[in-house]
Amino acid sequence: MKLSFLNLLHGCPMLCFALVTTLSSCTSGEKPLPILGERKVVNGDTVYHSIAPFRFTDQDSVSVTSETFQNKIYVADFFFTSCRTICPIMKTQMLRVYEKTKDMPDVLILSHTIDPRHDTVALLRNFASRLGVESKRWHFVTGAKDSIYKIAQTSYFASALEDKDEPGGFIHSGAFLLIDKKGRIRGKYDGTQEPDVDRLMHDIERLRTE
Amino acid sequence: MRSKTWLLAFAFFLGMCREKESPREQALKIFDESMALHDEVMPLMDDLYTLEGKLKTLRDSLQLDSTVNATRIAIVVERLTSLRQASQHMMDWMHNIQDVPGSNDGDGRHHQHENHAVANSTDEEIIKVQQAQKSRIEKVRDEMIESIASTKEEINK
Repeated sequence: MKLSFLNLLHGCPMLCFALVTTLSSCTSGEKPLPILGERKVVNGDTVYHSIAPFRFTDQDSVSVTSETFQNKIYVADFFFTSCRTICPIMKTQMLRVYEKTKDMPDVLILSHTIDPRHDTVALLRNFASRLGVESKRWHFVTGAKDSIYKIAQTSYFASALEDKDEPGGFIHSGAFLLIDKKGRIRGKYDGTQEPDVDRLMHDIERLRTE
Repeated sequence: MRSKTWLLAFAFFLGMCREKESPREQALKIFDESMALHDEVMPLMDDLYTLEGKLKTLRDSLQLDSTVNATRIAIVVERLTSLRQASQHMMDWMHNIQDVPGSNDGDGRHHQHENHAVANSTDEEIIKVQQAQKSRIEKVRDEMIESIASTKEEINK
């Protein structure tokens, strides 16, 4: 009896599933995104660097905490409303990310002001409203200056600070950071460069399929 | 000799024809120079914050024997104040920036204060405002560099 390939697939659903899985991994052909930052082995398990717990206030005067981002992928950056140099470019690029992720309920944006003395909640609200963005998807946050700078240096840019070869000025570097659902840093991008932001948007999709 | 005279006259004529920079162009040029100075020193904000943390640690350790270390604690506190002021002055400068009348921040917003009313400003006043703004950012730059240097010196003692 001559057994055709189709007959074989029809008769064996498990083989069919395995084939589809293999083919799909061959077509994407991409490795998982790296996990950036320090890692430790505790009791045989690898513990990765993650963003420390935080509590800030957003443009709606609502408390935004680590729990807000639990089981969410988010993009974080640092800016200030009166910044005239790199921030307008970053804002344009972040708007692209916002548009691209509008149908992704598991993706949020978190922008921290580095000038909390001037960037009040009212000013952040005005800033967000001029951009026409939804506060449930893009949080502009303020808080104690010390808390903002501390989380920037010890959580978001910890790996950069350890690298003595990297130039200084991380907080105002224009970087976008991609954080996964477990609060781990999965990518760092130049928020002033369109191709780098294209890469970020592609990586968000990759991260969603993990 | 005669051809040289003609050449000189022609060069003089060309010089007269060259378009002179308008007051607005001069003001915009000064504005750009101020922004370039700002960009140059803005990365130092990280250093200010890092050094502030180191100074706080030093102050806390010195306070374990506050009587013996009284003089040094006073110096450290003074350095802490100068770091914080430098950082604050930088942000104040940015927040109070004044545009050249007619220009905006890219979002269509004008940043001009009451003492820089567009309608009443003469060319001379517009340039003066920009020069004063540039002078303020130069002071902020010097303040930042000075506070960083003196703090490093104190920490390394």
